[in-house]
Amino acid sequence: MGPAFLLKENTSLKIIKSKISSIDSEIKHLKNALLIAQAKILDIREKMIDSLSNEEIKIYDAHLEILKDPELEEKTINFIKSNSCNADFAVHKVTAEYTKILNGLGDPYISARADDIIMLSRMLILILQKKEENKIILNIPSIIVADSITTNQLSSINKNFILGIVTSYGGPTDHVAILSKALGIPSLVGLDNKISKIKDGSLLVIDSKKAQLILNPSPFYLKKINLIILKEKQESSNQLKESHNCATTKSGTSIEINANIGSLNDVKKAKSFGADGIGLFRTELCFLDSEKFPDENMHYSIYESILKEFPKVKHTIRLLDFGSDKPLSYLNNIKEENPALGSRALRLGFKHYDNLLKPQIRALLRLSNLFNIHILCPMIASEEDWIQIKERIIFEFNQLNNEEIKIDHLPRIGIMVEIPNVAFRPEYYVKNADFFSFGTNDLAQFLMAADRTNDSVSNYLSQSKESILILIKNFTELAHKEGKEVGVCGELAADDKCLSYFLDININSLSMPPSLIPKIKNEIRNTI
Amino acid sequence: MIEKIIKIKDKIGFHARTSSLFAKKASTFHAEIFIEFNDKKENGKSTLSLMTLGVKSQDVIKIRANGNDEIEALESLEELIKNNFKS
Repeated sequence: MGPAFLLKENTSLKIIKSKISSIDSEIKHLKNALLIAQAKILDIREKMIDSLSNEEIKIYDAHLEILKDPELEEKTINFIKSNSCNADFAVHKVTAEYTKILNGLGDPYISARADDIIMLSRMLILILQKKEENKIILNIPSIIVADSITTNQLSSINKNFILGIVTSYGGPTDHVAILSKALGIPSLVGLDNKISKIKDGSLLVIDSKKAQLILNPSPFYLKKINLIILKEKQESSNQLKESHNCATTKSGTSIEINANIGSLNDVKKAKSFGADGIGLFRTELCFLDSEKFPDENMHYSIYESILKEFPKVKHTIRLLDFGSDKPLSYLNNIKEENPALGSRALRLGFKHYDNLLKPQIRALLRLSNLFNIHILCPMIASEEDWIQIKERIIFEFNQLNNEEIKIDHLPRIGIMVEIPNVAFRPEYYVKNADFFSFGTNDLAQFLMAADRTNDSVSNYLSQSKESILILIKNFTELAHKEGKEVGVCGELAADDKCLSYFLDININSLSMPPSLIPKIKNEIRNTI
Repeated sequence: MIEKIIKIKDKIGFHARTSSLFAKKASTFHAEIFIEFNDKKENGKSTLSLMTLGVKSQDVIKIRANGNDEIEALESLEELIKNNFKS
């Protein structure tokens, strides 16, 4: 919540073709401007390096690469020579040609690179014209409202003054969206013309939970929001202090509270919010932007960089769950009528075994020498599914040892219980798998025959709660008889109304987004 | 000057990252490197220009190298493509 700060359309650029006295001096100006721009980007990169992960910092490397591109420079020089014109005009024309071609390829990822070129072109032209971008000077913490905002502009503002960002253009793959998320700044992008009604200084509320923007909130709403914010702040600071201790009820029942993660940033949060371990590492999130199948070393190095941030705890790592709502550019995605019920997770993994599962399994086995890794298998539908994946993991384990890459011991291998066929009949699985984790989100959609990505039916999902709790209870009883642990990692895990039930049936662990951990641990401590 | 025709087997073709890897490798040689595709000819040392070619998986491109280390350059770039841009 905060006052709107309307980002004025930037310094308007006038790019006029003009006659010049010396071609050589224009070329010199151009070369100079390219160097200055590189220095500026390097400077921003330096400032941001502590707040961003390696992946995110690469955004600036990509900018530098464009500025150093030999062809961009040569084309611009040739343009100056053949038109005897000013360098800024040449930059404008050459970069416009590039962006036109790149946008014409019709690939959203390439188009985002075209946006980078537009930004850098602006930067070069301003340098050549000896102008400066309108400095964004925030005197009070504000919500920035703009048609669009560049990563450079964002990087130049004191982050303590940015309460939020609201833009009319853009989508979730924009560099700005990625950056603001990484910096923990609430943002809503791509709101189209909704923002045209916002006046400078008018009060805005970004409700990140509902992804809503509230314009000129009523005094009543404000009072409510203020109270909520104040209360949340107080509570969360108290809870955070306590969160690093384990969660034990008044009567002495302990339960592991773990974090769901998918990135370096998440694992840092998991640690700072007091997670007892990693309950669900969604590995596919590391590779959504990847342009090709990640190889074994890519798997290894990404997981290693993430796990070493929070090393001495249990790491439950889920095998890739691609497909469905997480399609992949490098798989020839076949259009499926019902992707959630289609070829996803291990089903897809086995189809592309050598490219998808094999490198991941090998990387995880190698990492198990360094970390306490538990391998979690998603979308197991039948005994056959389970036998197949378990055999593959054991095969790769033996293979690695034959290659004299010594793996000390086979990690524990567990099942993500999310398909009703498994949830209903625990008997076989509790004897054969090492541990279990209930994925309540998928289980709910399969039980209710309601697509969780379809807003018009998603209200059904919450009505499956009773049934799911019964399934979890039955499963847990049988699993405990075999000495196996059961956890819950879907939305229900962080549902405070289910907590006492989970405690009653002696669930071993709950896994949730890191930010919810202090609150849930606090609830548990207040339970008898 | 030497040249070679190569099929791109990588799932993506010349995308942002693969173009960048190719241009970086090409830049380590003195020889001029050009890529010909669909009647277009672009500087192989320029990520931007490579991206504009729109080379997709299974497309066939011609690489030309011209300079004192042209043989090594061509060999090394061919290997990069054959390894699907894994260096």
